[in-house]
Amino acid sequence: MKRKQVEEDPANGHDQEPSAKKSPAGARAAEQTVDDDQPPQNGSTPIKRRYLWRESVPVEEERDSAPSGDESMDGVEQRKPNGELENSIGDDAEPEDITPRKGRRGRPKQDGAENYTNGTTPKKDSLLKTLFSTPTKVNSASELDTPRIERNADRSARKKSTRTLIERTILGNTSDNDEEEEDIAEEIYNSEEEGNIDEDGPGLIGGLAEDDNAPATPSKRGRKKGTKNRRKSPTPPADLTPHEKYFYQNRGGRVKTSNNTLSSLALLNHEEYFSRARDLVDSHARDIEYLEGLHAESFNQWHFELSQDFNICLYGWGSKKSLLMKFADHIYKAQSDHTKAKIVVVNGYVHNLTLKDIFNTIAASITERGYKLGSQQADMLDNLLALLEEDKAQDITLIIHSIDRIPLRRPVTQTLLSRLASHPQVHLIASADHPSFPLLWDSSLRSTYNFIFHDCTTFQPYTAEVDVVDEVHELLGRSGRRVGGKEGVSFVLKSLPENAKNLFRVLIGEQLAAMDEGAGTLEGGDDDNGNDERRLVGHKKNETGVEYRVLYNKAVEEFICSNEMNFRTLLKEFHDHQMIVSRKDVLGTEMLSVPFRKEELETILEDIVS
Amino acid sequence: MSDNEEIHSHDGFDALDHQLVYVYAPANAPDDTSTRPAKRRKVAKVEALVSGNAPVHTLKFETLLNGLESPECVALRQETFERAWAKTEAQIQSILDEANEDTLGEVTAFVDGTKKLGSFAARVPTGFIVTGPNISSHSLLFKQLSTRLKTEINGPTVVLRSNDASNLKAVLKQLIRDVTNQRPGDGDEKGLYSDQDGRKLLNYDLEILHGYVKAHGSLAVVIAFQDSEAFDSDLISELINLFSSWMDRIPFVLLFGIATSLDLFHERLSRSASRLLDGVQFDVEQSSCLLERIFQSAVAGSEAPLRLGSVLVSSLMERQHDHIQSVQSFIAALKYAYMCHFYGNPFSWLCDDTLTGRNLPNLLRPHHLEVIKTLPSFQMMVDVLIKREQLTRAKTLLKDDKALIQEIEKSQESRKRSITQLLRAMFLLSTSSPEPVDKIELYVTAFQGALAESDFVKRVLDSIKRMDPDDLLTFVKALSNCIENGSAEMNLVGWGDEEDELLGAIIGIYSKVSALEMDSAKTGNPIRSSYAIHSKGVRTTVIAQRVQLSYENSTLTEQDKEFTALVDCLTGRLQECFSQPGNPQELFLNEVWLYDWTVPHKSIFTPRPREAIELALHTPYRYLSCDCCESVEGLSSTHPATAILYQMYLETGSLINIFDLWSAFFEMLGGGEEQKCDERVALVMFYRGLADLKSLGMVKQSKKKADHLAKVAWKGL
Repeated sequence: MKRKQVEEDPANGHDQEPSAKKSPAGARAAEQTVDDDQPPQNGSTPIKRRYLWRESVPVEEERDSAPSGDESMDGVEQRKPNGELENSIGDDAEPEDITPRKGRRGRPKQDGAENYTNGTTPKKDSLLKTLFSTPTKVNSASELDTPRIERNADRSARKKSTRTLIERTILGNTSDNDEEEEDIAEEIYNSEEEGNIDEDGPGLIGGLAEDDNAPATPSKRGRKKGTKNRRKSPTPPADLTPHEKYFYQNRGGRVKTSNNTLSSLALLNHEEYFSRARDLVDSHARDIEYLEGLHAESFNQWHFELSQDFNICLYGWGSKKSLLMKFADHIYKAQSDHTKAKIVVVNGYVHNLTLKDIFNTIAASITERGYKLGSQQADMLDNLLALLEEDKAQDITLIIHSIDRIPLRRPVTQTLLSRLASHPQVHLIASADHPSFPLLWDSSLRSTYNFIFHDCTTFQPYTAEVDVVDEVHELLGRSGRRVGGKEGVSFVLKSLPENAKNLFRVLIGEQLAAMDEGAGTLEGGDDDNGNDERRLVGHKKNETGVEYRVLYNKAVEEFICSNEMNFRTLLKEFHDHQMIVSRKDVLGTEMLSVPFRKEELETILEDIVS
Repeated sequence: MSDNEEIHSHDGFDALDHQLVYVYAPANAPDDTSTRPAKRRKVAKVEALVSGNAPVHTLKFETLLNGLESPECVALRQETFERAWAKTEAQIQSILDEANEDTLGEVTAFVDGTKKLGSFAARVPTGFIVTGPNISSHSLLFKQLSTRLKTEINGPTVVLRSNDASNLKAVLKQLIRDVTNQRPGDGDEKGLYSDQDGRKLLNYDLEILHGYVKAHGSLAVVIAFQDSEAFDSDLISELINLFSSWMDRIPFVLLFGIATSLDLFHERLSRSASRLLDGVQFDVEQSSCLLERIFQSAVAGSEAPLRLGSVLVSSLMERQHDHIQSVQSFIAALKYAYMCHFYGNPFSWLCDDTLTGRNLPNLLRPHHLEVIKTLPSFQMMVDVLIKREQLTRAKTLLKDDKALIQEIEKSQESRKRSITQLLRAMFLLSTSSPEPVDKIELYVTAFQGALAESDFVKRVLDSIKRMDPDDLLTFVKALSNCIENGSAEMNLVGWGDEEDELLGAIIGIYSKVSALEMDSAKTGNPIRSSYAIHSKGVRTTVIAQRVQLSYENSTLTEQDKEFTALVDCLTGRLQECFSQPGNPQELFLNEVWLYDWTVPHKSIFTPRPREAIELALHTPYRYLSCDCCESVEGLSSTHPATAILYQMYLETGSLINIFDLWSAFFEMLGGGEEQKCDERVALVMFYRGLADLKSLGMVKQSKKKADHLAKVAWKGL
């Protein structure tokens, strides 16, 4: 593969050839400069490195037995077949037979033997940040005696191309003429990467999600550091202990993810999500049902546990809602007197749930409606417990779905709930979804709750508990979709007075201007890659937004509002509909922005103006 | 009708899902006619079974033995459980009441005493209750305290917790509200909020409290800070200042619950505040002490209906020490052991003593016997018989049900005897040991059947050998006392009458030793046993030691030799007494009364939710046991969406590009070239998985790069 590229770009290849043929010292110097300029590009592919360090131990023994002196003396031509061999068997199971051994051989000589051609290793050492960097160097050392020329030639081409790319992106001084050149440069640059992919066996592709994605659409910035770093880090060895894995994944250095964004993907809205989700057929439906049936077999046991003044907490993966409702049914059937024994169900995941609701419903279930518990939560609980004590036959089974979700997470809430649950006439059975839910309760709360825990992994989707679309959009930073996309915005705007509309128009205009400004500085006249660029910058601008003061001044200029009070009122309306986002930037100035992308902003602006 | 259509059009959407709180009513509630009779029938049945014991709910135990168990046995098990636990619980409760009794009495007396000071004391009388670090038992203590004080002291008592109130105003509000609500039905609370001149008072004005005190003639207003360390120290100082300035009008008494030490608490107070306090310290019995007492009575007590096995006890104790669990949690664990035993063990009803001989043969059905034959204890018994070459006996036990029933009856009778023997040995050992013994550890050793060889026994015997006659006399006396009087802690009655032999021997030794002692007093030669010399001589070299010993040996008098013989006799007796009881785990039918299963306790009291979730997502087939995923290691397109995403997530670095994640996910689902899966459908699944990961707290939006996620959780950490 590599050789082919060299042939395609012979000029570059020849560039390097002489230096390779020079004296060892010269070769070293040449290599050094190459490495200085672009340290991570040592021409070795991830897959090979992987092989290398895996195989390094068994091979090590052999390194001393092989003569070392002949390496620098050997002619380049002799090496060529070797190099071909290496390249061609890249897919094979044991390429290490050829390359790594040589690399190994060279390694111990580095410090002692001055005349050894490769003096670059120590230098690079300081530059490398990845964990498994050593074998990489070794391999580059081995290049001396195998495909050195091709490699170096290749590298020099790559080096050049990289430089062009860097120059272009940083200085933005590209002209149309350069474009062609650039294409070639990019091609050369990518060639190596493609080679990697081909060499990556299918088993390895599956390993790292980013591994097989990043090279798919290489973008310029990634080339500068992202991709290189990525290539330096092979798939982690399979059996790392959890802490090793943590450090492996958190090691220093730049992030090494690709720059792909979701712009090409049409996101889902609620309507589409639900209509499609409804039609979704789960292939495991039967197994899930069976699993629930298994849990349901212990209903009687749970009931017994509840009757013995224990409370129950169910945990594990999957929604336990339907299971709990079945359990409610079970209890209901077992209860003989439905006037005294009540089952109260609390949906702990509903956002506006408060303790008052729970207390009031319990009170209402045991007395006639309209019973006043009081206003303070603690008071209400005391009154409620007193109410329960009045008739000892009363019996409340409290079912709380998702006791660990946000509405019930506050410590005060948990304290009061635990006091309620510890009452002998109240039986609590709750479900908890978060993996660290026990942290909600200290030892004192825990003993008040008197919980018994059951692993109830159900694998059922959290349909009621989680608002999937909102949650995901929040993750993606597209919370603007809350309002219902741009249609929603224009709907809201329609109902607002003219002033508000104007203000929004000004805001969008300013934001777009800011985006263009930001994009313009870096973008240059390059249309080909402009989209990519603009998107990035646009997103950045999206984050920075328009300064509050600036917007206010602008609004006053356009006679939209006359004072700040007025201005605030208008903004509040937008806030309420989540149409604008306000943030403090590093300097503490308030920045306002509309949480949409540029294209969407443009259409909204058109809507308003028309 | 329109409702129905609504439901259909929003398939899978239930209005109740998004209602905050509601009272459950089953879906088929309207047609009561169909469900009611069934219910009634059930009730009637259970009522008949539990013999007139009207149940509040119709809960009954599961039928075991594959449903073969007779209803009588099921009911019997339940009944036995209720009786057994009620008994144990009563015991525990009395110990608990007793334990805090001293503290309660002292504190009450202290509060009482402050009345005499009248209302002109300059300092605020304060009680510091040093409760120890176990915060979970504090609430019990303070509850007891406040009920006690409320009944015995004329005046309101308020218990404040740190999370009730964070600032001065809130504390005062809470205080006043609690005080004025304390006497329900007084009706004049409203009036309290206004001054005499009709001014309306703010709800945190202590004037209200003053008015209340005047109106009720209260002699003390007790304010207890349950977890005083958790309060802001400035807040406490401010409160103390405020209270002291009201002391001439309101007779405040403060109580502080202190988990650390008084000194530390004192350091946190401002100097001006601590000068205003007039304090007395109270110490509460530490929970470890209390725990041992409860253990002695409820687990090791002679009357305990169910015994816990050594493995379970040691794991419980480990939990207790490692996680500073409260006494309450131990009791809960004990209760759960009872529940497990009676709920899940078809023979548990046999552990009721009153049952013996009543109608055992009637209740024991063939299937019971079948199961008994599979019990390890039965097999062990048969093995022993075979080893002793009593083959016919073994055969009859295996073949003849009647013989088996007889054997069961016999074991029922012998059980109590052997257990009592063991407990007595334990008791003797703990009292005769030279240094205090960890009784729980002793129990664990004894129930492993390793008592005879244990260090406890060795230590006791060694100490006896080293005793001089005086010590021996007191020791023997104490021993005989023990045998005659038994132990109150373990509910052991004296067993002097039963074991004449041991007691007689001990008394014999006593009289002989005292005679020797008299003799020696006359002659003036001290008596030593030959063992005593061994331990006395401290010689530097081995040879010198040997010389010394042989010299001493040769100089032993007749009396010395006689004394040595007596010591030997005593140690022999004791040794025998300690080694007599066998290993309880080897007794026939020990499964009936010995509960030693740690699995349920571990999973039920120390859940590992994170592990469970990680396991479920990492290897879904463990739970789903489906054919499609089982064979595949690692990622597989058949896994549920969230599981696929989770496994990809495990392999990523700390930053995740969402688009790449999505394309990998799509690829995995078989999108890509094969087009097995529609992209939009895959996206729905992707959304769902991502939302799940977020709700599990594993990802959050990253600010570092556009469209990136930050990884928050690592598996196994």
